[in-house]
Amino acid sequence: MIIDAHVHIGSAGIGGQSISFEEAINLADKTGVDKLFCTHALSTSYDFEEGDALLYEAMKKYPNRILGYVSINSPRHGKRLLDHFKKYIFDYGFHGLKILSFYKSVFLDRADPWMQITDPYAYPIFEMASEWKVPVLAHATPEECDETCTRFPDLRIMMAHMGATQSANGDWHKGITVANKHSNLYLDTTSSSIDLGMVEEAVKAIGPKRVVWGSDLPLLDQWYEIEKIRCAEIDLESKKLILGENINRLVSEIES
Amino acid sequence: MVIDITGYIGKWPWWPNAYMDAGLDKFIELMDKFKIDKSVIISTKSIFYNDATGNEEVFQAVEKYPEKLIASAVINPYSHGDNPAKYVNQCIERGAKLIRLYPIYHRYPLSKDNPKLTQIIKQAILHNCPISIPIRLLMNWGFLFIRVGELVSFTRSFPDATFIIDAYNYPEFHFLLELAKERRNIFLGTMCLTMYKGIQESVNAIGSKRLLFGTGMPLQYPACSLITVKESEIEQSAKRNILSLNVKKLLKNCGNI
Repeated sequence: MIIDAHVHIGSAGIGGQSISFEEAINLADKTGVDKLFCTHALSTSYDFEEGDALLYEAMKKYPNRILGYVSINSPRHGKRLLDHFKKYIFDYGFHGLKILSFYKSVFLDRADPWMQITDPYAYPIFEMASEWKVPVLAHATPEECDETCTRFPDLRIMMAHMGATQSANGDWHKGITVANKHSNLYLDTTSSSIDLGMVEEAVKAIGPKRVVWGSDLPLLDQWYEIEKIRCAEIDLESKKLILGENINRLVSEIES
Repeated sequence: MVIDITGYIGKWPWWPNAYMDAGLDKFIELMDKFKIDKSVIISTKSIFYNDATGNEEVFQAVEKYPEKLIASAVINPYSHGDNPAKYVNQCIERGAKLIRLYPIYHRYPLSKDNPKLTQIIKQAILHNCPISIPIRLLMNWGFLFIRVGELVSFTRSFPDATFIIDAYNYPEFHFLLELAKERRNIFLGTMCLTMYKGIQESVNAIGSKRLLFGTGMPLQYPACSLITVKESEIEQSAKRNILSLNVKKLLKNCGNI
């Protein structure tokens, strides 16, 4: 079972990249990916209600192919957001939470204060996710994940891109160091970087059970990303865990 | 046949790399593992320390593996007194088929008003030698990169030169394709192209004859760059162009004045 734990549907906004559900499934058929764990770009960039509703429709249309993240553009929507999260996890069968710290990049030297995972406004939703064991995919720096894991030791956080984001200056070594410190922190191998040894180093440091594969489609090519795991010099069992078994286990442990 | 336009030899100063640490034979082993027939190599020493000593390592490596390796030379305009053109000649005489420039690491402006740099470009033109300007060393956001506007202005100043703009990715993608559409002397190197449909859209924009396959191995996993070309939805003939034919054609005239 291969599950891509990091897929964006819609217009991702960077470099004009976009993809539809249908196109993503067609691609997955070719790459050998069984399930796509998706966030809708509308949710993360504009309106979580509209984006998640579109994702829910796709989950009904493709029940065996698409898993859904509740994806939020800002934790500052109070009760409306918390009610939405609860409804989508328990009534609509979503499987995770996607949150971004946006966006200090190599092109911008400032961050948007209303999009930070360390924002105290995010604490209530992390408390809920901790209690229900909902995995959280966080596009955030190693430092932000360190702080959040310390504050929420029962929260299951997947550090997107192994922390090697533009905001974190591509520093996946630091991501591994922080993951070594927190047993509730997972590393998502999705990354523009294909630095030889990064997958092997992650497995060596924290073991294969806390490493999760994703593609970041359509920003990145799913072929390119899956090959990073397939060609890595690690054993076959580790590859199976990373390519699907780990995320499947996390999803199956959500409290119903 | 597969020819890689960017293979690194030498040491990697910033973290352990099993293949670079083990030396040249291990590099060849990695090429063989992924069925890369030839690699146009560069020494990291010539980027981070001194161009001439790094280039010397390249020439020696090519002497050892002439069937597998092709020499490229890094030139720092400020390392050769008033006459960098003379060093260009020496490198080409030693077998360099490509000149590479690293303005960020050698701390000089990429400007047509930079006289020593202009001397290098003019000498390269004289020898039919392509000039590679990598935007970044590898696809890791920690490394500095050349701003695309600067690159475009510079390359437009030398219509007779052949430029390879290597290591482009989504921040530069549309801008560079527009430049390449306008200027036939621009080639693009794929070693950092991570975008979904990046190869396909590049071919749609400028055709397949000015795209050059690269891996950045062993700093990057070569398999990732290979599969993006092999699985892209383009004609088989276009894949052959990108994977080997273009670079063969491009480098063959270097030194034949």
